[in-house]
Amino acid sequence: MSAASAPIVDIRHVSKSFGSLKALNNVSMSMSLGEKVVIIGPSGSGKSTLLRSINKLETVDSGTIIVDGFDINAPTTNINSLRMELGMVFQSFNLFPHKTVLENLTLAPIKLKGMSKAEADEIALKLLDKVGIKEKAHAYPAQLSGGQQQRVAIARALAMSPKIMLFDEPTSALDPEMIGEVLDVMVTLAKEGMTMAVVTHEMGFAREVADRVVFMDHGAIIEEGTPEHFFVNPEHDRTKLFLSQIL
Amino acid sequence: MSDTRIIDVGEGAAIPSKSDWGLFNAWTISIIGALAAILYLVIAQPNPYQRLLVYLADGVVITFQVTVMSILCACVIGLITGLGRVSRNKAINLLASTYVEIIRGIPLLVQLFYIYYALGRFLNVHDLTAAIIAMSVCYGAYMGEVFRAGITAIDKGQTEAARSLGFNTKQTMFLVILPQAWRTILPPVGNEFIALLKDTSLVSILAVSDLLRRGREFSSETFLYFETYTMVALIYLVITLILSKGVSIMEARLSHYVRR
Amino acid sequence: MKRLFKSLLLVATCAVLALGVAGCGEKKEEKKAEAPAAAAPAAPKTIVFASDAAYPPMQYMNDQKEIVGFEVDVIKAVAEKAGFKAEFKNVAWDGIFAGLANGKYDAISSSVSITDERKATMDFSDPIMAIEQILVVGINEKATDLAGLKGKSIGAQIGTTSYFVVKDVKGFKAIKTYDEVGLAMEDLVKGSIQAVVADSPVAVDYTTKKYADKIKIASVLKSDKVENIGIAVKKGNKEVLDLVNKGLAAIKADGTFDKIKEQHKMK
Repeated sequence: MSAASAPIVDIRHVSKSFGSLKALNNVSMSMSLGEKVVIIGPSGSGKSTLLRSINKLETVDSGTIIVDGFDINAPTTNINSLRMELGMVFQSFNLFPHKTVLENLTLAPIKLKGMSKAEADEIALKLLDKVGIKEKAHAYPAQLSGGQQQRVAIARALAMSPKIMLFDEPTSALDPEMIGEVLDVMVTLAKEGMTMAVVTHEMGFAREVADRVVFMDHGAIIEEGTPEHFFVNPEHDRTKLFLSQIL
Repeated sequence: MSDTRIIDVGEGAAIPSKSDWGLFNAWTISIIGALAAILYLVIAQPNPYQRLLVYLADGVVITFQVTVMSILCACVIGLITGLGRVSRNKAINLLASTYVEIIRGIPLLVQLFYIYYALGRFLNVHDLTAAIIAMSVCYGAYMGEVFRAGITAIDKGQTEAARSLGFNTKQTMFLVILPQAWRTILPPVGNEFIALLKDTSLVSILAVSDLLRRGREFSSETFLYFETYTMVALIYLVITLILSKGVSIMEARLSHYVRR
Repeated sequence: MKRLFKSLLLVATCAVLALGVAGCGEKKEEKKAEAPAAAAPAAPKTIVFASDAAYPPMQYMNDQKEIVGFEVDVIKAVAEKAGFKAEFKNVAWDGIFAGLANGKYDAISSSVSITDERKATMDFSDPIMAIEQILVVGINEKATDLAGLKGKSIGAQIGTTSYFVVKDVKGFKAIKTYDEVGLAMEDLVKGSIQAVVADSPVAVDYTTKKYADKIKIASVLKSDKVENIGIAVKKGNKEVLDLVNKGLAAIKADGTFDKIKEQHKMK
C-alpha cells in the first residue's frame, strides 16, 4: 500500500439525493496517489454516483470533494481543467461515433492541450498498441466489438495523461467472452502504478488488483479493507450476504 | 436501423436496398418524366411553350435565389433557436421557445404580408429581402424544433464522455454533439428545405417576380392558363426533385460512419 | 378525454355537413324557382357578374361588405332597364377570365378594357366609357413621362392594360406586377417603386383621396387608340350580351348614365 502521501481524492461527508431517493448518505472516503480502490455493492447502492461525483458528472448536495488539492465545487475551481486529470471510462463506452478510433484519442489532446496533430497521433498510436488494437486506428467505433470499443475508451482517457482513472462498471455491458481483454488492460494499467477507482462486479479483478475494497449499500459505505480482509473475513452481515450472492 | 442484415461483407459489396433498383425508382421516373415532358412540349409546340419557357426563366432564377438564401438564413436561425431551446439558461430558453410559439402560430402568408406591408411602413425593405426575411424567420422556427429534437436525441453518454475529457459546454456541443446530430437532423431538415422551396411560391403575393408570378403574368395576358400552369408545375417539380436528390446525397455522405 | 374529443369532432363534422347540404339545397331551390320564372315573361333572369372589388371607384367593397362603385351602379341601372336581376361576385382579377371561360359566372363587370387580344377569347358589350392610362408618381417626383423614369422601378396590376402599356418598355430597373392596384399604390407610397400605371378613374381616385398628399398624376400616357371598357361574356353568350347592350343603350339614351356619372363625380 502506498498510503503514505497526502490523499489525491478526499471525499468528506458527501450526500446526494435524486428526488426522494438518497443516493449518497454522508459518505467519506479518500484515495492516495497510486492507490487502487475497488467499489462494490448491489445496484442502487450509490457506488456509481460516488464515482461520478469525483469528476462532478454528478453534483453533490452537501459535503466537499477535494481532488489534487482543489475543491471541485468551489467557484474558483476550473472544473474543465481539473477533469483533464481525471480519466473516465463508462459502462457504455461512449466513444464518439463520428470520429475514427484515432480521432477519438487525439480530439481532446489537440483541442484542449494544444498538441500538434503529429504528436497527438504518435501518442495515440502508442496507446492503441498498448491496448492491443493499433490495427483498428482508422476504423469507426461502430465497426468494433464491444471489448475493442471499451479498450479504445480506456486509451482515449489515457491520451490526456490523467493522474487518476475512474472506471464506472467498465465490463458490465460486455459479452462474457470480451470481459477478459478489457480486464487485462486494466490490470496492466494497475501494475504500472496508475491511481484507479473502479466500480465493478468483477470480484476476481478486485482480489488481484485492489489495494482496498469498499462495499457500499443504500448510499453508505458499509465496510472497507484489503481484499484479504474483505473476501476472507468480512465483518458485516450485509457484506457477507452480498458476497454470498455474487461469488 | 437495428439491422439484422448487417453482415460484414467487406468494402463495396453492398446489400441491395430499395434505392438500388436501377432506373425503376420513384425519383428517376419522376425526373425523367418531368424533363421529357418539358422537352416534348417545347419541341412539339414551340408556340407557346418555347415563349413561355423564355418568359419564366428569370422567375426560376428568383425562386432559386429566394430558396437558397432562405435555407441558409433559416439554418442559422434554426441552429441558434435549437441551441436556445436546449440551453439551461432560463432566459435564453424562454426567448427561443416564445419565438417558436409565435411563429408557428401565424400562417406564412400572413407573416409575408406583415413583414412586407406592416413593417414596411417603418423600414423600407426590398421585396426580395422581405421575402427572404419572412421565409427565414418562419422556417427558422420550424428548423429550430428539428435541431432541438436532433440535439436531444444524442445519447447523454456522449456529453458525459466529452465533459469528462475536459471539454466545456460549447466545445462539447460543437465538437461532439452537433456533428452527430446532423445525421439525425438532416432527413427532417431536408423535408423542411423542400417544403420551403414549395412555399416560396407564396412570395409572389409580394409582387416578387418569382416563377409563379411570371406564370401568372404570362397566363393573365395570353389566357393560356392550362399551358402556363402545366409548365410552372413541371419546373417546380424538377427543382424540387433536384433538391431532394441533393439532400439524400448529403445524407449518404454523413452516414458513412454507421454500418448499414 | 379522447372520447370527448372524438364526439366533439363528430358533432363539428355533422354541423359542417349540415350547413353544406342546407347551402346546396338553397341553391337548388333558387334554380328551381328560376326555371319556371324564365318561362313566364315578367319574371327577371339573374345574371351573375364577376367583379374584382379592389378597384375604387369603379368597383370596391364598402363597410357593409357590399360591392359598390360606379360600374356597379351602371350595371344595376342596366339591369333595371333590361329587366334582369344583377348579382355581383367578388373574384380576384388574376384568373377572372379563366372563371368566365369555365362558366363560373355569366359576365365580368370589372372595368375590363376591350382589346383585340381579349376579343379573341371572349365577347364584349358595347363600350361603357373610354378610359386612359395614367402615370402616377410620388409627390416629389420630377419626371413626367415613362422616359424620365428610366432606371427606376415601375408597377401595375397584373394582367391589365396598364401593365401591357409598360411591359415591353426597356430601361426600367424592374417592372412589377401586383394582384391588386391598391398594393401597387401602397408600394409607391412606401417608396419600393417610383411609379404606377393605372386606369384613369382609379388613378384619379387614389391621387385625390387616399394618398392625395403622397402621390400625384404625372401624365396621361398617349395612345393612338381609344381604350374602352365594357362587359365581358363567354364567347357566344348572345343572350346575356343582348340584355346588357339593351340596358346600356337605354340608360345612355334617357340620361340615367350621365346622372350616375355625376353622382360619382366622374368627368
